[in-house]
Amino acid sequence: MMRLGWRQFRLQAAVAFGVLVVIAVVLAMTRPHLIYLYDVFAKAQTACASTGDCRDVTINLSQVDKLLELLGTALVAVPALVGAFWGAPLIAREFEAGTHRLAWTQSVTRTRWLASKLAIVGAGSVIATGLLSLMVTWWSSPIDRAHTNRFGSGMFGERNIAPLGYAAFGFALGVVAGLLIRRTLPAMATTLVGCLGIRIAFTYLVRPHLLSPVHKAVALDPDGTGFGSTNSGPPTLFPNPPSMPNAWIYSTHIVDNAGHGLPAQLVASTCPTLGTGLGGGPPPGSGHAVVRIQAPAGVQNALQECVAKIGASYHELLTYQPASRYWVFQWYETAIYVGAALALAGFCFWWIRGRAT
Amino acid sequence: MIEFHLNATSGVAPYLQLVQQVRRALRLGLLSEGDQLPTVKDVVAHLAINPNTVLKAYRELEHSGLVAARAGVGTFVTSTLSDASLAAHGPLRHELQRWFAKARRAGLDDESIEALFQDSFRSLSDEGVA
Amino acid sequence: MTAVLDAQGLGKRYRKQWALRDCTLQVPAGRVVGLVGPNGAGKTTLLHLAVGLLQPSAGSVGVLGARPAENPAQLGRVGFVAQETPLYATLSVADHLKLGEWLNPRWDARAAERRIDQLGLDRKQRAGKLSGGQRAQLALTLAIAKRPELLVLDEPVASLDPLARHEFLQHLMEAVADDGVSVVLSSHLVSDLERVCDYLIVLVGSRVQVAGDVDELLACHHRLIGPRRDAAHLPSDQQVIEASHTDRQSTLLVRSDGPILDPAWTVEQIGLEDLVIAYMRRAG
Repeated sequence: MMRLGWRQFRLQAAVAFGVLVVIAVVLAMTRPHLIYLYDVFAKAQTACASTGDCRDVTINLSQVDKLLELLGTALVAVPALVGAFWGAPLIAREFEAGTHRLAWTQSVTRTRWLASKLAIVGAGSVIATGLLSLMVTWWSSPIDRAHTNRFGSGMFGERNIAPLGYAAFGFALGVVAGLLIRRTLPAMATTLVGCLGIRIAFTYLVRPHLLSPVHKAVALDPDGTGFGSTNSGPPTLFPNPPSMPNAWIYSTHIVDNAGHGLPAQLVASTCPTLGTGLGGGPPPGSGHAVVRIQAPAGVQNALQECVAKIGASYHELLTYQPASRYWVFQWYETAIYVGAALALAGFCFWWIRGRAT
Repeated sequence: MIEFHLNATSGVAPYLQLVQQVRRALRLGLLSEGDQLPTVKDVVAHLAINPNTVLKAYRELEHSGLVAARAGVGTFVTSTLSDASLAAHGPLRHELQRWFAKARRAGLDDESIEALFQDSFRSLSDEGVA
Repeated sequence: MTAVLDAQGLGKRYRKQWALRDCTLQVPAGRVVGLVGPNGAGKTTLLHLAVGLLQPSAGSVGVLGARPAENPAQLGRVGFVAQETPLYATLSVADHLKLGEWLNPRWDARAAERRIDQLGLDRKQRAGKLSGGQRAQLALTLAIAKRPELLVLDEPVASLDPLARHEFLQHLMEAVADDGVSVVLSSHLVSDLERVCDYLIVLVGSRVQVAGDVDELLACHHRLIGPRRDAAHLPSDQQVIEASHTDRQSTLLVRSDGPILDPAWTVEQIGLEDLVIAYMRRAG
């Protein structure tokens, strides 16, 4: 049965292999240039650190920008695509063509038939996605080293082992969709939508709660605190989070020792001069954005004085996951997705034994 | 070796048709003692009929003492129906052909010839002669 | 002798509808069984229950003395060709033979190869490109080469032209003559079955109307023609299947084990097709 499963999967495996080879070649060719760009950037950064003004030092990524975008999309899309193109038709196509009536009346049980198909195509899905993730992680390592934001941003799901979990889950979801819906195209569509929805839901609703975040109190930094308003509310202070490479920062608030937030009126009363000289409130049409205004030198000093005054009784409260927990989160998330995939697979076995044709 | 055919519309059961075809072949000297009948598999592959039908026909012929089955080899003819009268077939056939020609010249069509023949033959049999 | 198919009160229900009901049969081994009935009568349901593609809603079914599809050994004893002869369109003829070999421990590779050569099929040809007759022959080859004790065929010749139909039945009968395999095949045409079947099951309206040896059925059913008479006045051992009357004459189809002694009747033999039609009319 394994041989038949492989024979049926041969073409799709060949296509995937071809695509991976092409991607590998492209990545190998562009990586040296990427390393060079980041090298130059790093040197410029160390140079400007001594002069203190690093604002103009940026990296010109335009050449590799497009590729970066593509790879990111690919790794997000691949688990859903694998589910839709390899998982959904696995059983749906047999139902549509009636070939399950041929397969189930040979001398192998349905369970063995299903197990072989799941094993071969499932393994193929996870391996293909794993190879892709490996290549992308390797290729992006200079970028990740420079930007140090692999934990908090959307990139969490595009590196290392997380995509393996997504692939296993996407595949299993596709198989279940095909099994229940019994038509290939609707099953594919359902899988794509389902994968997307569940990924988004998990990322925003579950991932932040996998481990309790750490809270840390930090003194208000006069250089690192801005002034402005949000949602057309009254103007108040906005702290910039400190530099914490590869950590995942949930939020920053200004609170006093008892944990109460900083009221805007206190800012207005402590620093009455701050709002003036800037033409009153925020410019019209600023909407929901936090408006940071580049103030002239005199206003800068007034801002720093204000922060120092307020900093006497208020401090910055940081809620975050430390960088050291990155791999714990990767393993947890992968394990949860793989567990869900196994549960879906178990459902398939149960369904196929009891229900029929 | 003879070859069987089936007439689906004749109203005669298939196995009987096979029996009749063997008997006719025996009468006409197409089959003689020691000849082998077609194997069940060959008949079935040719005519697409149930093997049991062929077996039934062969069993009936065996029952009439005309054939005998040899296990693993086939079914063979053990006696003929033609006997000495086979020699008379030639001249008799000639006479029949002459009679048919006469009937034709008298203006009878095929149906009339057959009806006349069947009727005479039947009354002959009823009289118990031959 | 174990029945090759033993059904007791077998039934299958989909939601509220019974596709098959109260089906009780004991089909002896070594027969070619014809299952005939109109479309939607439950033929496919019965066959799917027999090969384990469906579970019964009521009653039980035994095939060759065991439950259908109970284990790989049981699966290997029954060969099945489904309606429309499903095959893998993208796999070649040779691939299908490999499929048979991989999935069946009792596979007879030489016989399968020989048959494919006899049929003149191109091994590299994809199954999707074969003609209807060629697909049916390939599917039959796959079913026969696994050396089953029972072959179940669901309307195998329904969409074939006369030549393809004849060749298919030739192939099938050869297998029966060779291996003594029992066959159950369904059709909604009696003419397909007449030549090859020696056991008949008539299925109409999800129920079995009549089942038995073809010779016995033909021997015990008679057409009676005579002066106009009420059918209820017949002796009790004569069961009236169908009756039609004109003002002067009655024509009855009667099932009777004993001889018809009443001299008023003209007694006629009845053909298989007429027999089936009478039972179909009776049920409908």
